[in-house]
Amino acid sequence: MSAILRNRIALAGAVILLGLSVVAVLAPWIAPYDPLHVNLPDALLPPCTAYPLGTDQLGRDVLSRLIYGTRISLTIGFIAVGIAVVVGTVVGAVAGFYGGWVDTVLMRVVDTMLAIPTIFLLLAIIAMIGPSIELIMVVIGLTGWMGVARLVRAEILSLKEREFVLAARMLGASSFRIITKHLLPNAMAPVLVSATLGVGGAILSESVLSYLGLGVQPPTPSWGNILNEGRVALGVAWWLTVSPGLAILITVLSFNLLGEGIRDALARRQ
Amino acid sequence: MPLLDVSNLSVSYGRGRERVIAVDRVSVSLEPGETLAIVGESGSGKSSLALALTRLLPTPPADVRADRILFEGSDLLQMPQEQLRAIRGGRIAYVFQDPGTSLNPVLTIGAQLREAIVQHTAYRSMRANAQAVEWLERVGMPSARDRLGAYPHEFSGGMQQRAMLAMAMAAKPALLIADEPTTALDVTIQVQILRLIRDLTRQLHLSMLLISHDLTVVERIAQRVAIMSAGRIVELGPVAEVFTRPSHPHTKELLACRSSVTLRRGRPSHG
Repeated sequence: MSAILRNRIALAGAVILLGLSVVAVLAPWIAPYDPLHVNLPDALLPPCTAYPLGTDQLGRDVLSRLIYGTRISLTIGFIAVGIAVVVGTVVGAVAGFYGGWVDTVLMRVVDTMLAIPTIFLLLAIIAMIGPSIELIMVVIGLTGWMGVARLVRAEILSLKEREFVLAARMLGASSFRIITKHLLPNAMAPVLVSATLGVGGAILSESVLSYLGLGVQPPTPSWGNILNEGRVALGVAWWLTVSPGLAILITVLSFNLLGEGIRDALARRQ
Repeated sequence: MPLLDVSNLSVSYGRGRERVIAVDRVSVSLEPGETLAIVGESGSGKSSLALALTRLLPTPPADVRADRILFEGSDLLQMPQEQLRAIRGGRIAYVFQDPGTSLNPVLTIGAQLREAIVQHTAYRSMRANAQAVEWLERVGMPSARDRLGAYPHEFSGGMQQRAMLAMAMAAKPALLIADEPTTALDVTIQVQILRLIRDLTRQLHLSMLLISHDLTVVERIAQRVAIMSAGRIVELGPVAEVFTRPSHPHTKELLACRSSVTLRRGRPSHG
């Protein structure tokens, strides 16, 4: 923990993410306008004192839409990664602990999943079922667990040979107890790093999907679909695309910096 | 009736041409309250024997056979896993060579001790905590109450081994299997830990299977000794007898090694 605090860049990432989380939680109180409020006389105003980030084609306040979009983007990022971590941890732990044909089957499933380009898989599934926020979270989660599974499996493979596992067995612990109490807590460090980096990736995936119109559906604002709506007015209203673009950039960058900071801190400890 | 009665126990690893016999038709028995030492050089099968007793060796690659392994009157070979788990740690406790690697690095000493207590006794929550403190005090842990929240790496080797002993004793077992319990410790600490083990076995009327290659240790705390070589027990008898009148050449060799190390005691350097 103190090692992360000493790493200025990682700390900056953490502070930015903390700020974004506060913004997301307090969105209704912070946002100057209703993000869905259409006000055609004020359409396409450049940034000014009344609208710090300008307005879009329907006269909606871009800043308010960005603030509400923070909610959507962070929620999708965290829940998708949560699903990926849970699935990946279970698969990796079972494969690593039991070995043999169980391991072979699960790892071949992982290989197969990794061989399919994620973005096409995402597009295909969402195009078939139809876009909704819940589905996006689940699908991003279910296409992103393979890395975690491999990490956990590798950790478990080396941990299960350690003497304290034998000691736990000698104390009469069951396999379930050994996996959950003795192996997984020791294997969580690399998973934490991968999850932090993964949140950035998930937010990016959501933006890509929304940009292609298969993500969060208007009028609900998400960074990706604000960007998408701004695309058509790119020549006349630069503020519509620059601000969500910067929001995505800064957020993903912050997650990456924090993740790398955590990784360095853990590497130094070992 | 003996507490433990093992008859013709064999352990082998691998199969076909690769097959290695680690333990070869070993029979031992242990009376309540008795300490039996198993002595032999590295690779003589001592640890395989200890692990095979409660069927802790993964099979395959290991293959464990015996006529019977009677413990408190029931055959461990016939016992379902569920019941065996209650015996492991409950009636038969283990202590290992290196406490530094036998403790889980991410759990506190208190959590690991409580786990042992909750699993094998009726104590829960607050009373399990009180038991944990009591056992840490019994194994000579200074300011035991404050140590519950400490992680293994905050302890010295000697303190870690004391914590391991507390975990082993907490379920009030009948048999303690100690696999080289002092080998990884400093010489000064070895004596303290040995004295502690000896006192605990006496107070709790515990039988002990002590695995060691340190003959001085064996002489101090065991009543009987079994000498193992290449998977077989080549000599078995009361410590005093085996040490003064060794009959098997391998025993003589082992004793000769020791006397050349402990020359300052004025023993002859070779039999």
